[in-house]
Amino acid sequence: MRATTWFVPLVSACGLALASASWAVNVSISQPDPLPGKYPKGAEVTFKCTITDGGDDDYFVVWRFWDDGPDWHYEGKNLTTVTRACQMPGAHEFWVIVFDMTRENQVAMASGCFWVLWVQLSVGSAGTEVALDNQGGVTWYQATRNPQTRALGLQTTFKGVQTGMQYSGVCTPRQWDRTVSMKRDVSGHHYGGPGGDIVRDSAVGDDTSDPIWLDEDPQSATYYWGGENKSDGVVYDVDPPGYSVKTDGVCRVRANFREWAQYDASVVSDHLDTHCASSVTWDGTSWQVVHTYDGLGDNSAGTGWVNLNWNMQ
Amino acid sequence: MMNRRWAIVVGVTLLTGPLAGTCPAATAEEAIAEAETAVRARAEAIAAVVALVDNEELFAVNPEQAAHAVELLGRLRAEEAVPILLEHVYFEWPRSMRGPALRDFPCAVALARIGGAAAPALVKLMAGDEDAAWLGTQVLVGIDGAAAAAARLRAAAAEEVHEERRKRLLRAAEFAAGLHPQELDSPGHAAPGTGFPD
Repeated sequence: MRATTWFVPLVSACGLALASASWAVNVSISQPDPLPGKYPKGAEVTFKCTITDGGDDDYFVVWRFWDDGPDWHYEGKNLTTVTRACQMPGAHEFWVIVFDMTRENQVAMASGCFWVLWVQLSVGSAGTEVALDNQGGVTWYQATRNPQTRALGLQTTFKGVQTGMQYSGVCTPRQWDRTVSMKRDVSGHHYGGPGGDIVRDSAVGDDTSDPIWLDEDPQSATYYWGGENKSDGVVYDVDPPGYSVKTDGVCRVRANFREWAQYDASVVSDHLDTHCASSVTWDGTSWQVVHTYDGLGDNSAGTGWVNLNWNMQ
Repeated sequence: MMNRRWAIVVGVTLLTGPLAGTCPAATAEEAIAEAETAVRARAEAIAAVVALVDNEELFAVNPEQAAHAVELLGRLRAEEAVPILLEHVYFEWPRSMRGPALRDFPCAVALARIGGAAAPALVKLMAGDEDAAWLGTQVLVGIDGAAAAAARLRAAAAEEVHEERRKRLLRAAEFAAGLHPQELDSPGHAAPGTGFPD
């Protein structure tokens, strides 16, 4: 008998089954299929392998899930199925090592890989620009006026005056290639009237962007700005809260948001709480910012929530 | 069971056979008359709704009714309404705090429903008005699909002699190339909320 060493199979390609030459035993990964398996963090996943030996011998099977949390080692007699929760974001390898029942002789080995998704969210507004690889950013650029601009924050648009906010979601692993949905809830009011203290509209609940404002393909390319701008594992959502009625005195937006990322039905990010507050008035020619409550957070957009009253108090 | 069904079919055929020379002809005349009535009714309905929306006050005073009337023009594929729809293309209803989308602009949605007949006038408007490009591009993508809309805009740009108008159309073409047609009837994402705290 000859024990198969650890080192040679470690360089094998994902899913490649290896068998000891002296033992006609083979092990192959039957689940996930295809490889790599792609799961949201926390997903309960069943991994399976198939052992073939031309007979009906028993084997001692060891599973090892590298770099995916403390529960990384499983072993048992003919253990061909392991169900476990995916714990750590990233691209991981796992190994199935088959021993004879003496546990001294390794007779076969197979490896596979799986990805565990987690998304890190952030928000940008005034002082930043829409990313070149953000297709939804093109929609923002197209909407802005005098001149058209990639700059976020309070801008004149074809619709009125809007505050551009760009949510970015960086995927781990960066090679993640499936759609990641960007979702958002809102709680907020539009105020108008001479003092800007009359509620005109209110919104509570789902505020998920229309598809034209989204770039949910983490490996997409945007060509609008010239050349190929690839997302490289980042998804985007642009939200332009604003005001369109020019004849309503002081127009105020007070809105708090909660943004998160989803893969299928699973939430794959922390919640990101953000806000937008703006006060403007139309002087007959252009929009003018009203700075009365700037000290309380008016005319700002970014992380955290604000008081939703017209005077922010 | 199958034999019984065949017996019914054969029986009905034998009974109605002698009438074959008269019944279908009468039905055809009726069908044509009904269709003519429907065409006249459609034309009258369109004329009435166009007259209704050809009124600035309606959009300001009763935007809900204006939006409904405009929607009907779209569903009737009323090519006659294209000029009046273009005139009110920025009309937004209902107003919401969401980021604007095609579905928020009833006249633009109606133009998309009318289809190719609306495209030439729309492209002309887009060439002369930067504001129209944002909406107009989405309407064209709704009509033609992204690639064909981009091609239509590039072709229009190629024929344009005025530099600024030409650039405007080329920018719209690039915008169109990256868009997907939108569901005109959709209220947007039907995403479950997380229960936003008060």
